[in-house]
Amino acid sequence: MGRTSGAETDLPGQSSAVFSLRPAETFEVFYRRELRGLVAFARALSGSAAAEDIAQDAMLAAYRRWDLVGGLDAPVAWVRRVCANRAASTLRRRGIEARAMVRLSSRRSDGEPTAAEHEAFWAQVRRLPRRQAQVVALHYIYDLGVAEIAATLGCAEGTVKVHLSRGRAALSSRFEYPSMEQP
Amino acid sequence: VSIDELGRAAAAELHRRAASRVDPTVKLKQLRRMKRTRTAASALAVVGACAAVVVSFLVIDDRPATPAATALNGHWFIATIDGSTVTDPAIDLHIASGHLLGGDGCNAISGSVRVAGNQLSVPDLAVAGADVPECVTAYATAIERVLSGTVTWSVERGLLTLSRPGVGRLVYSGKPGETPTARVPAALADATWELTELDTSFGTFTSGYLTHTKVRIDRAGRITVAHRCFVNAGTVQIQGAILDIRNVRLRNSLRCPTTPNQAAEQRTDAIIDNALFGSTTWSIADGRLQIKAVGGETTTLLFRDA
Repeated sequence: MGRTSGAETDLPGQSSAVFSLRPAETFEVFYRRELRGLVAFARALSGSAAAEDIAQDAMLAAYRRWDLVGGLDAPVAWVRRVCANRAASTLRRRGIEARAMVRLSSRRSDGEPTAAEHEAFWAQVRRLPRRQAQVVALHYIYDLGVAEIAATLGCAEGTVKVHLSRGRAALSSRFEYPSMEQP
Repeated sequence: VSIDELGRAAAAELHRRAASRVDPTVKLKQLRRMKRTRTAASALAVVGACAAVVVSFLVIDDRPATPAATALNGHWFIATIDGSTVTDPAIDLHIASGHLLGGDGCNAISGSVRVAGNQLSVPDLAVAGADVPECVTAYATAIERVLSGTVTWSVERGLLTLSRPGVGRLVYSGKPGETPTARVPAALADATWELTELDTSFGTFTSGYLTHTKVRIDRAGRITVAHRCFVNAGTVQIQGAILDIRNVRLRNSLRCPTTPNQAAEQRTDAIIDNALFGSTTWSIADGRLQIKAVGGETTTLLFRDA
């Protein structure tokens, strides 16, 4: 592809200069606000061992390109997407771990869920197909609706609806819980 | 307990743990160290890559003489596919300046032509539906299969032969040296298109600054892309849904006041030009023009008729 411009000609991913078309907050403010949520999100998708590293890696990617990422309409969506993709890569490498957790989830408890059930819930989420797991995790961890999830993952709202519905149905059947709510 | 209640409780548990275990202040210091380390590693990698390039130039090329790639240039029409005679003006190839533009009968095709001796490949082959009624899909499939890998090529007695053993063999007859026409459709030409949205792999930009970018294509195939402070001009070739913008040069700089966001604005102009120049696909729906970069970067530009 020809690359010609009267200005600089870096690709977006190679940006190094200041890039902010709207008054962007500093990376530090962004980091302090989003890090904990991102760790929770990474933990939901990857398990406990690597969650902080994955979240930190996603933040590092944003930090190195903050001149560009900070100018986006939704920098948080970008960093969540990076985190989701890195968690998926990590999980592929450690594929066995999630399956081992399944045994914890084979029965339904009465009343309030226990910490073991929380672990089992996320273990089952990690067993879902990659996109379904990302959609379900974004929905519960960040309480996001269909449109926000679609914007975060860069896919159509209809696709998110299908993934969320199938993900919930799969989880319900594994825990023998009813799935009643629609986002 | 529903699955949603369990999900929310499990999410709340993760948030509680993250809040108790993760200290953003400490982590931020770690992050700054990581950035310094990785930046240094990247710099070393760049130095290593440069050294490798220099060494590769020093190696003497003692390969036998091969046909000149300029023999490929021209406008070629299909003659035979796998030995069967085919006459279809919609199956053609324009090759010029290392770029290919044409049709397989059903779709528009384009890409960069890489030539190494008598081997040729189109690594970024793009195929876009061209809405050709009653096309022969078997021909299109055969052509795309051949062009999707490295082929052996030759030009002899006005015939261009592209063959891949075990895959297929295409023979085109042609008029070497002929350049393709612009073929600018009326819907696209003679309008001024104002940029309103830029979708990149990073996300969506909808800043008002984008509307400074205005694109105009005339029926002769000349394009101007005006930004706030400068204007680029070039030429277009159009084949179905493929819009190929080439030969772009800075036409003139405009007088523009300095702004606090100047560096960011220059960066934006560069991203727009990166997406726009080269092979793209185009479509118009509801009075809006969409231009999408073809190849590695997934960048889409949305324009309105100004």
